[in-house]
Amino acid sequence: MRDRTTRDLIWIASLWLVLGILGEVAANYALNTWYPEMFSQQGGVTAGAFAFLLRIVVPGAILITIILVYSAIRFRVPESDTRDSPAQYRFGRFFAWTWLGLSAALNILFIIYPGATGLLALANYQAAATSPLQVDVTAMQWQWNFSYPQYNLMNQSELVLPVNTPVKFMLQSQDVVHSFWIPAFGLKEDVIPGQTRELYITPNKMISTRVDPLARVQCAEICGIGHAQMRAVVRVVSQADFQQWVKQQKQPPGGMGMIMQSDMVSINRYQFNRTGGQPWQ
Amino acid sequence: MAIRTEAGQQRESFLVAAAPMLRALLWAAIGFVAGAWLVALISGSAFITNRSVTVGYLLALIGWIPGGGAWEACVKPAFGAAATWDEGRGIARYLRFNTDHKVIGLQYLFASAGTFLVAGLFAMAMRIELLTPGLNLFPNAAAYNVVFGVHGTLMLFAVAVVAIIGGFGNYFLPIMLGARDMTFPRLNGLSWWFVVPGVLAVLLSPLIGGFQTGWSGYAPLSATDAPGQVLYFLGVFSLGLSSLLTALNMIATTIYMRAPGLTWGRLPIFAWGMLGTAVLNVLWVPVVGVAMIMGLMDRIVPTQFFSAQGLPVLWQDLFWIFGHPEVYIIMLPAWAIWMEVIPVMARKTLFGYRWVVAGIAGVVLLSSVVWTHHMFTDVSNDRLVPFMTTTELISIPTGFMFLAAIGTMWQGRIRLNTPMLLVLMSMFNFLLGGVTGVFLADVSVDLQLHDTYFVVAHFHYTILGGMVFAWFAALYYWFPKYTGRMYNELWGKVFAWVIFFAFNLTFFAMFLAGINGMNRRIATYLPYLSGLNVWISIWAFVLGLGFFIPLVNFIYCWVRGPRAPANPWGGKTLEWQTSSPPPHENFEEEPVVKSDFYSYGEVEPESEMFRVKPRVGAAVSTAQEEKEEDGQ
Ligand code: HEM
Ligand SMILES: [Cu+2]
Ligand SMILES: [Cu+2]
Repeated sequence: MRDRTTRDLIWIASLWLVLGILGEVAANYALNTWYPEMFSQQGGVTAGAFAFLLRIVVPGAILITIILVYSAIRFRVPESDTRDSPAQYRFGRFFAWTWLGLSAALNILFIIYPGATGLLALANYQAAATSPLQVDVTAMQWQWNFSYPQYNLMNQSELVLPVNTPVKFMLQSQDVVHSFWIPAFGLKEDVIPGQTRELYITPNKMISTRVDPLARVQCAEICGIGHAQMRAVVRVVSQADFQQWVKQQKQPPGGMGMIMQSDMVSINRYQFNRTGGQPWQ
Repeated sequence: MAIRTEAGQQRESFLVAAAPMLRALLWAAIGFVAGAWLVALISGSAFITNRSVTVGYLLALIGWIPGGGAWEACVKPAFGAAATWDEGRGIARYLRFNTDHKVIGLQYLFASAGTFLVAGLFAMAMRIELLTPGLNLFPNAAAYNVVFGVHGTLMLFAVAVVAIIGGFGNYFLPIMLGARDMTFPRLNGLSWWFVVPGVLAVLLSPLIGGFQTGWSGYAPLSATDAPGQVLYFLGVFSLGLSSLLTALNMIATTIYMRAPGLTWGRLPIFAWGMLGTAVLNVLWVPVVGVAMIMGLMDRIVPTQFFSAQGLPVLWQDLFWIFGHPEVYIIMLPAWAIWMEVIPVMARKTLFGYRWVVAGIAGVVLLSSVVWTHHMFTDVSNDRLVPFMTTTELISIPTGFMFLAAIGTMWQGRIRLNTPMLLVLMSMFNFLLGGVTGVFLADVSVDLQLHDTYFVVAHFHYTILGGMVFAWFAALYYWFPKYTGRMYNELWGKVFAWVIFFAFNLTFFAMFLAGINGMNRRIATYLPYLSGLNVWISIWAFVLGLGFFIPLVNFIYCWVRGPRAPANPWGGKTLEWQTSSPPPHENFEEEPVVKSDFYSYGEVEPESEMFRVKPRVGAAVSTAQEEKEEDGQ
């Protein structure tokens, strides 16, 4: 019996070694190819947390799956065989307490890192943003509206941001709950009627919706019939281009509305190509 | 057995058999029309308004419930008249007010299985729509929104929290406790009659515009869209009421109706699971019930509880204070089924009974204090760390279920028949659902993944992959008991493998869609996501078709299957110690419990690690068992 147990455990350990390594390789591959590129500091935090958790839980889930599958195959008997198992016990202290210890340790780890530390990193970025660019965001059924009070520039339908400048979004809703999400920036925040909520984001690479459809403003909380289409074009540009754009927008409108209109159409119709290509495309 | 007579007679007897149900439908229809018409008349408004639908629904309920027989069985006796209600025989019992827990259990089972199929068809419609980035099936996005709302609301409130609890809980809890029935049989009879109107309200809501909010009914959107939203509030309220009444009965029955010798330390795990869910229901269903009434008031009075002048986020708190425990109301029964099936099929003593019970208790406690993880994007920073902590911690008691399952299977003699196969698949799916929950518990990750298809995949892994697979395991495991016949094993296994692969291929791809910026509750999406969505839809269709295999298997075998013995699997819990199906009031004579239900062979109380005592061909030794009772 003891021999049998030892043999079973050796099998499981070796399978885990092999499949665990393969799992880590697959996890890395998935992170590189399937997890989209992030274009903000905050996105780096959320993507980093995701990657860390994935690298830990993949071998864990693989171990449990191996035990389940191994047991199902190794301890299987014909269905007509109804004899009791020779091995009978109500408990195994070592196994149970190891299990409890490991799961408690993992929990403590996850709560501290990347849990609390991730939040701390987000808070630090916010604290470091001493003179952010303020963008007032108004959500309404079913569109977004952006104002730049520091530039006295109101009611833009396109979100243009200078790279490497902390942005403080002031979020307000005119009707129902919406959610302000730019997938490429790696986080979202709900916009709640009757409240003004703040969100700090520092875009750290230039990007635009045309290049990467994940760089779009997307409403992420169901808000009625136009919810899916409640998007806006995003462009992260250089400081100089940003100043240029502000100047342009302040000139008396010369068909600007039309251009933005066509941009909105393009975000819905245009066949976006993700940088790096997707395996399923 | 009236079904088996010749055709002409059959139709006649069916009409007679169904008379109470038809009377209930008629009274309900009269109630609705009268109520709605009266309100329209008094207020001089249209026939369908928020108020007229509310009053119409309430009068329909007042017509429906007495119409099914509660009038003769409950109302008249309450005023001193003699109770004259005939509970019927054969198929008629299921189509009228009945107080027999086994009949009620099957009524629940039929109701939830039927709802599962209908809500499943709604899912198929969604997947057709999502085959292309633009609209293809629905005339507009609003229609799609209505469909996912009906799908989700029915699946959760009328399937996930009803199928195992209402169905098998009602049927098997009293038998497993050695009782003749529930403590309050008439209350039990009533509880089922709230399910049907609840389901119909949600299902028919599209006729009056449906609701845009999805199953979570967020305010203030819920205050502004079509009158169908009123039926969401009323339907969910009715379904919740049904759960609440069932929960009261289960708690009372577990406390007061146990057979002699059935100490708390011997209580079957299934009974612990039912008790845990019942406690959660009693604590939290009232909260969501109040929320539904307040949401309704915002429309019909109108009050301003959740409007911008009020507190929109309060709705979310009230909803999720129930909504999260609901997740465990769904999972506790599923885990309980793992624990019932595994020892029987592995011919092995349950590993760590007390740890399982502690795990259930831990989950009941912790699940009541994690709800804010659904609202990380809505709340102030103060709430993030505490709720992230509780949410992560709940994986510890949850892990005890895996601990016990693995410890029990280890070196057992496992019979991989359909129930056991489905339990193993349920464990695997729930494992993936659980580990992806770890990501969502992490606040910063959740800020990115919240309200995306990652979440959709996560909860389908837990509910469909975990609970529905376990429900089907139970449907097969207990099939011989509740029908008296045997299902077809080959088709059972074919079904298990088909849905296992189709399920994983469908829903795993949803994780990828979510990571790649596909938000949920959308009828149209950007074209870069179309490859993934075609893949998901195709496998979803296979999955949907897969569920017709057991439908045919069950219906055919219920009528034609070979007769089942009393105890085909060699189970030790009390339901296997009586005939298949059990007689009225369950046992020929009152059972006396002399040992626990999960001991096989000659049990050692403790094994260091996996050390085992060699013993060949062990047979059940009753004397030994009795000596060892409570010996752990
Ligand atoms: C045949 C298998 C199923 C398929 C293909 C399917 C598919 C879907 C889809 C496409 C959505 C829309 C997701 C979104 O945009 O938010 C959805 C939502 C949902 N499903 Fe399913 N589903 C299936 C079975 C189930 C089952 C068995 C349950 C629970 C018992 C369930 C519960 C839900 C819930 C609660 C929602 C959320 C609805 C909402 O957003 O309000 N589904 N499902
Ligand atoms: Cu929206
Ligand atoms: Cu939750």
